[in-house]
Amino acid sequence: MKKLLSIDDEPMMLKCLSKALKSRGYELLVTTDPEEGLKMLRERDDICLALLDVKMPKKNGFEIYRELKQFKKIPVLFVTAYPMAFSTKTDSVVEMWQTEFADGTTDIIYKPFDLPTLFEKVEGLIGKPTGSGAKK
Amino acid sequence: MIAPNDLDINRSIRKVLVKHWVDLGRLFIRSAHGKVTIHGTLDRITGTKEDLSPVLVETIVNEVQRLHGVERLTIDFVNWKKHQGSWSQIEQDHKLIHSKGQTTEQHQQTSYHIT
Repeated sequence: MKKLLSIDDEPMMLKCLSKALKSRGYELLVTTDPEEGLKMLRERDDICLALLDVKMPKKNGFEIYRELKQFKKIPVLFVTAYPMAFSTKTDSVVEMWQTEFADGTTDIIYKPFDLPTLFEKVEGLIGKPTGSGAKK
Repeated sequence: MIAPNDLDINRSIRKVLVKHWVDLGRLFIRSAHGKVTIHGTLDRITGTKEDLSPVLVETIVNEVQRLHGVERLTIDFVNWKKHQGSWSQIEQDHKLIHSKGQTTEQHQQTSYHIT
């Protein structure tokens, strides 16, 4: 079963994502703590996709993303309710867009979203789930 | 040359979109054995100096079409249509728009929502 990790400061969001992705045949690891999430990504080799919330109090999704990209090349799906977060008016976003985004392994999903939208984004990055519980 | 798999194709398409500052959050890519569908709203991310033009849309579509492994490309943009060989923007009913790229109609299609 493909394992994903979601870092989001909203426990309810993590619960919903976990339930949804499990129903599709993925296993979702979750944490509200960015540092714990980065530690998991560093230490585990079985995580094939990171879902990152953008706006978080301790460390935002962009900071996590840039740290992650320094030690691991796995696909990332940004999950955010703020399309304006991706603006060329912010230098760091421009730099990130031209460097890390340019390899094509990053995608974005805007909240609110429905399940088919979530599955389409996830499957577009890592493919369909495999193993028991996978839905065709 | 070995044909790339569908995930490689998706990745190549995202590279093209990122190069043109296209908002990935409003577009969806599906690839199956080289048959690619791109649907959703084609727009640039906030703050870009230049909006997409018909010529730029054609350029993006052509670049995707030419990618290795893309055998057939189906385009279904919410906000652009091709008519008599050229792209034009579709007037959107702003009353239906909740947020960028998501309309009331789209929300009514499914019963599950994650907010």
